[in-house]
Amino acid sequence: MTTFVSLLVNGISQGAVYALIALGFVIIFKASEVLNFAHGSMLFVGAYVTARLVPSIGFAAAVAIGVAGTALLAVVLERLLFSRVGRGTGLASQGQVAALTIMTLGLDIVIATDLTRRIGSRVLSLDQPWGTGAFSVGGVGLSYNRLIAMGTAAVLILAFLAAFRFTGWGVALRASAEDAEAAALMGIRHWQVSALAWLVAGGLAAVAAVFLTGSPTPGLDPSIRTVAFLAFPAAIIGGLDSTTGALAGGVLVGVVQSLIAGYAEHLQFLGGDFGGAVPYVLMLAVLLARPAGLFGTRELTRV
Amino acid sequence: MSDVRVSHGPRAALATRLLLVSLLVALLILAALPLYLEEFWLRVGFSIFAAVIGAIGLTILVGTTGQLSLGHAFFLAVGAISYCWLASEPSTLGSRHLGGLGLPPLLAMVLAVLISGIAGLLFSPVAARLRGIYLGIASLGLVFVGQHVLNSASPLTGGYNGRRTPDFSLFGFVFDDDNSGLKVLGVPFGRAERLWYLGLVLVVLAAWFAYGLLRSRPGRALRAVRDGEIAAAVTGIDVTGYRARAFLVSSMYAGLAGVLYALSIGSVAPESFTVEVSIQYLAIILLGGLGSVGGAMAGAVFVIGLPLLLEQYSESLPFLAEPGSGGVTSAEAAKYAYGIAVILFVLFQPRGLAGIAYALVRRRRAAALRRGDDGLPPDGGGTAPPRGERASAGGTADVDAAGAATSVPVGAPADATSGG
Amino acid sequence: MSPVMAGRGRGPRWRSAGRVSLALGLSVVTLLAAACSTKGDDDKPAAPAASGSAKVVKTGQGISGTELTLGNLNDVTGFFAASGKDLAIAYDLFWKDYNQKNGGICGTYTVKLENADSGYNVQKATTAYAAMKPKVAAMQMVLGSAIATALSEDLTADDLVGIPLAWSQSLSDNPNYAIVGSTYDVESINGLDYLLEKGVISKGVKIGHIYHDSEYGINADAGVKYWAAQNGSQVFEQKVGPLQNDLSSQVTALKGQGVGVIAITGTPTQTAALAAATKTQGLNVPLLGNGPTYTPDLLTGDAKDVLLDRFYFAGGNGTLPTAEAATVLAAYRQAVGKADAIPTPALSTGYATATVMAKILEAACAAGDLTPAGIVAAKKGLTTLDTGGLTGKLDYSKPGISPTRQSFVVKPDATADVRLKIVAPLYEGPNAKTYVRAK
Repeated sequence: MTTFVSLLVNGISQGAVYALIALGFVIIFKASEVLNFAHGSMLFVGAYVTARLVPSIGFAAAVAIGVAGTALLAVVLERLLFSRVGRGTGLASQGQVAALTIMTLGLDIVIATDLTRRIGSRVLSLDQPWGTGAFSVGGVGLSYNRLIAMGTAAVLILAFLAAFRFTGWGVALRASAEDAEAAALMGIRHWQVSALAWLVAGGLAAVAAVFLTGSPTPGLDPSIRTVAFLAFPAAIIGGLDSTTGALAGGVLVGVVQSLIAGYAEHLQFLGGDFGGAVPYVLMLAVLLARPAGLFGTRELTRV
Repeated sequence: MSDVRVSHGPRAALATRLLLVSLLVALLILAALPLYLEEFWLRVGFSIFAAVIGAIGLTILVGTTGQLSLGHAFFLAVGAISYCWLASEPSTLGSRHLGGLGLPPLLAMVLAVLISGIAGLLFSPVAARLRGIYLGIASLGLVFVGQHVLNSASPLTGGYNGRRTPDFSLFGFVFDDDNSGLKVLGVPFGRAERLWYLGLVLVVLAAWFAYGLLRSRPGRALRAVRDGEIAAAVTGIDVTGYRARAFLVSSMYAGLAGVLYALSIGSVAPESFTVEVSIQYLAIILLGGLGSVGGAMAGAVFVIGLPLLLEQYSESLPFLAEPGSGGVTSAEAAKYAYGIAVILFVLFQPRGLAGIAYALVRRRRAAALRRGDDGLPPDGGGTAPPRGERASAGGTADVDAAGAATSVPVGAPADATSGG
Repeated sequence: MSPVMAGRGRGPRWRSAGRVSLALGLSVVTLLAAACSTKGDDDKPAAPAASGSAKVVKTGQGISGTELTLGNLNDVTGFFAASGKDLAIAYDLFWKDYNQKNGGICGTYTVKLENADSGYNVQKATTAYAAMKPKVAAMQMVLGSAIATALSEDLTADDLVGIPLAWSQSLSDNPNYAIVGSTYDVESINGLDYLLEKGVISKGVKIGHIYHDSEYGINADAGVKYWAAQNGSQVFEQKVGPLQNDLSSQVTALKGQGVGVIAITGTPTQTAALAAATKTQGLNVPLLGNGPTYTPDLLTGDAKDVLLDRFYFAGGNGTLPTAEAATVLAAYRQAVGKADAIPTPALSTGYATATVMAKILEAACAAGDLTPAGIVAAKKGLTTLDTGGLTGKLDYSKPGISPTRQSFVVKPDATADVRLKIVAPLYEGPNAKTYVRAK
């Protein structure tokens, strides 16, 4: 029982971080119809900038700059690159989808190659002030890093949902995602909606990166980029156009991964290290049963 | 649309034909290269041949039918590993026992291609339910889940160690270094030389089949599906069926590419077929021009050849550093180059290299027109293809090859029409 | 869907034009082929025997004039880049010194190195190998289990000696491979033997083993299982991928199973992740790694306290030549341009590897045959190769088993120059002595 609760808690805390990443991924998709495969690189940028600045200006300032820098980079990329191709005219045609997606892949290659080269074989520490400490209740242990991650994710997600519901940007984002042309006719400036979406997504990615590199993970190395490949299926499982879905998907992936790894002894028939594939197995199952995702609403063209 | 060229004036027609002739000459030169090139270059060439075949398959799927696939690496893996399993005798590698059927390599190659095709067909029910972006991520799932399955099936695949590629042979002629002392015009013909011809022949066949396919009724149907499924369905096209067949053909190409890949590196492991490989192939077809067979070839030369070239000459290139020294190494330089090229092409030349070549040819034709010796406008006189919204869709050039382009997308780059 | 070829309606003019061009093209190509290809002419006659040594030595591929070239297939950009860079430095230092002191192999042939980077990628490795193999007399290093396995048959076909920087028992099946040190299974057994001997663990202890599902991990697991069977222990296995840097769930599970020691066969980053996870879960058991699981960098990270407290590792080679340690360290620091640089254990591995290579070449020289085949023959004849304590005594005459049963048992040490101290040099535990490879 203790083992089960431990695994569950660990999964939820990890899933909360995935949810932050998946949320950013979904916001970008809602605002500009771009499937941002460079999201992993944004995690990377956030963590790298923070790690480099920590020794000279301290953790808090470094995180602030890391988050702001990543958010800004995301906006710049949107303005400079993606807005030039997409223009957000509703559901992009298939050719545009392919071209835009491949462009995010190209971007990901450039950023990841550069940062990997800069890091080399080192593992950089972000020196989180909460360190490697952990607390334990009734045999269930959780590192402070994961605990704080859960709290921060909850606050950020609530704040986002409030903004999504009550601010002008939130309304505009929802309207644009629903019907970009109608929204434009009603005076919603699509480019503002889109730029702000990228800003928020970049910031969320950088925040997630701070926790991903904390205990019990040893620090920042290039493998951080691969975490994004867990957040993509999380977003799809929830429904690519659903913010609630991103949260559910993120937590679900975290918990299932943790349980699979924890009970690997009894799951030998699934093969070793099934944890890496399980988000995609879940995703394919969901897609077959409900192509729009658990919480998604978008109707797909069927013939 | 296949008959367009017939009606052009003599000069324009001659230009097209000269192009065909130069294609033949190029082929002959390619056929003569093993007499001159060192083994290293032949190996590079063979890797490129493999990539060309895979890229043609992907461009049929993504460029022609508009189904975004990040799962190409999986089908390559299926082809490569099936070949190794089918053609090998059972053996033991390291701590694992490896199964094998010991079939003749040619049969194994054909079966491997078929197995890849079946894998593609099995995936098509998923593909049929999904569009564009969803399909992209679902196919990404194929790579991750597939890699896990293949890694777990170690008697088949060798697990993380992979397994050795059995040599290819054709009716007793082995494509490997043997002691037969085979020489052609005084040049010893070993593994690299022999494989070069295998690759060349397969590339020619693969390209020829793709050209034929794209110009035939099915090809037109595939494009119609891309340009508007509902419209296509209304005209009586079996949309689901064609989408499934596109997956079948594309994964068979991938399977063949996988077999050649396995032959080129000598051993394969599921690990070799990561999502990076899928991305590489997408980059190839994007740079070449989505939907273009000729473009797929050009893209493969760039994406696969560049890193190998840079590595070979890294010592004489001043901007490159030794690996591990912290500077930009040849491998990194190649990655920057193709990443940046992808971004620039999407922004400024979404029709890829094929689009550039096409624009050049068109300009020349327009010049011929101005001289008044060509009776017809460059895009007239033939059956105009249904264009739909293709024009607005950046990156779906309907260009088959540089000079053989037969239809003119409405949204061709402005510079292409400036001459007319 | 049969292919339909387009392009009907070709006029006579086209036909003739096409034929003429075709014929022209063909004849040009044939002419070129016949007249200009020089590729076939470069079969070099066997190199004449070099003089300069007392004895006439047969030479072949890899030796030109008085230079002998060795190949290094390294990884300086992939998972093992930190080790790879130190290996490269070790080879440079070793051979510079050797050439100076002895005037090269046989007192005649200056050793030169041909380096390539695989980035730990099998495809790049096989391509690089093809490019370098005609230039080398032997492969001084083939880094990585998967790469060494992939190239195994090539080395046999090309009749080259290779030293795998991978200690999987299966590699010892190939008599062309000279493994420097004990294999992973023997390392694991020695490590557990040592912990038992020192009372850190007791007989019947439950063992957790977190390992890569690869030749590396599986071979180590064979050792762990053997030890467990001999000592009434139960093994709980957790397979992980190389990129998995959060081991919380695995450790939680092992805690639930009540393990008293955790063995790890993974990357150094995973060692740190394991240390952090055991701390979080309050599972204060000894941790045992083998060869490549430790780098000094780990002591700058968060896992430092745990590692200093309860991490041990068993490796095939663990020390620099004692007499020269200071000189080597100084040379290393000069080479990397940092006065306080800390080498990874790979520096001594590199020295051990180069030493073994030198001994093999010396044996070939003594036998009067420095051709690749002669070097292979010399390697097979070595039964008690002594590296002066760099690694255990090596017996290369029996393929299929670890060339030595001696390992180094090591603990991290924050104050030592190389951030580790050897607690048991050339250790051969009772179970390692009796170990036979499972069929």
